[in-house]
Amino acid sequence: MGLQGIGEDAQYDQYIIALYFVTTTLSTCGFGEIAATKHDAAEASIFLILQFVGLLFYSYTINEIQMIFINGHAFSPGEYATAMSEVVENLIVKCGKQLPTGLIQGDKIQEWKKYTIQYFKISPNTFLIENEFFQSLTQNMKVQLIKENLSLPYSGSEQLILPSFYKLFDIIFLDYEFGFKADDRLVCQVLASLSYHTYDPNGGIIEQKVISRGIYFIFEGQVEVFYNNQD
Amino acid sequence: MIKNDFTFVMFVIYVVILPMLVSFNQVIKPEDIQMLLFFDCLFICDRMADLFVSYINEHGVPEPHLRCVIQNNLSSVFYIELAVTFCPFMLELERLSSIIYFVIKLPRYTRIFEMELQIDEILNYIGDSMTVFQVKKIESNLFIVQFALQTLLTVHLLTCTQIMACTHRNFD
Repeated sequence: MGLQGIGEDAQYDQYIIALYFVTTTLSTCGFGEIAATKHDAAEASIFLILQFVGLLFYSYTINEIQMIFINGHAFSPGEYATAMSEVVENLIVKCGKQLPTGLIQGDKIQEWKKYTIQYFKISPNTFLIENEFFQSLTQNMKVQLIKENLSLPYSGSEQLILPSFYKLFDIIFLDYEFGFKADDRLVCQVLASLSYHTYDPNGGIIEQKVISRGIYFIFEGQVEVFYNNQD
Repeated sequence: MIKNDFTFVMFVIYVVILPMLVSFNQVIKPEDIQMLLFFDCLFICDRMADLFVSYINEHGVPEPHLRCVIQNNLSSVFYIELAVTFCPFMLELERLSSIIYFVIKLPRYTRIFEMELQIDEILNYIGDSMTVFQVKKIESNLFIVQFALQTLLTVHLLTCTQIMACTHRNFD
């Protein structure tokens, strides 16, 4: 091969020369001191394949390096915190609840909240699905993120709202097969349809022979079932 | 998880060794064949073991029937592994040209692209007690390792291909 043939040296040197040749070709430098022998179609064919692979390899490598820098930069602790608060807001708005005042700090978040609610009204179903940060996480991480944020300590009246949500999420996500294996859209739909109710101790929840409009998760108190078989 | 990690480490060693063995010799030496057979056994056993990994069926429970599990896990990857392992035996192994042997074994290289699954498995295992932020940091580091490994192994493979081309043309 060319002026300095690969096969002229010991195995170690051969490898280094071949590596040098491949690297210069893949990086599209191609200094030209090692080249295919003139009028040798077989060698030329091998080099053509190498050049073609080199083009693909080069573009792939550059893209990957860019992604490493972009991802590495985008995930600083501050940005993570912002993204987390956005996700929590998304989830709470999606579930049709008011945002706890403890999470609202500064005008920007207020503006963002207004925009979010408007967006939610226009397209509620795609709202959560289109959240870029949320979508970049794996299913397990989404679940973990929701749990992390909803288990944060809150004070005052917020305790009435968030712990109940946390418990609801917990009930759903403790079921490993659903929380971890279910389709994102299904999880979002289930989350969106959750609501928290308190029932009077002497009142009823569902009557016999009446088809219920939902399913119920009990996380406080007890439920008695009366069965009337007279008719 | 340990099985998959061990197999992956062995695969990396294999991808480094195999091109070196086949590129400097026109015919593979008998002692090298024995070593390569060990790797063949290892990889085919790994694919066989993967056949018995259960999945969650439509009722939301792990599939209890072995036949269904095997049917579900039979994929092109398994057939490729079968072909890659047993094809050289159909030819005359001791006189087999190293370049043909290499071409037969080349599809096995696709295992390198299964590394993302490996990363997911590692994250699921170690990430239980971590926050998402910590998991993301580890994930980005593992992706750098993955990228470096894929790049180095590809360059190594191409380098050995060049040497192989020369070896089979008597270094003309």
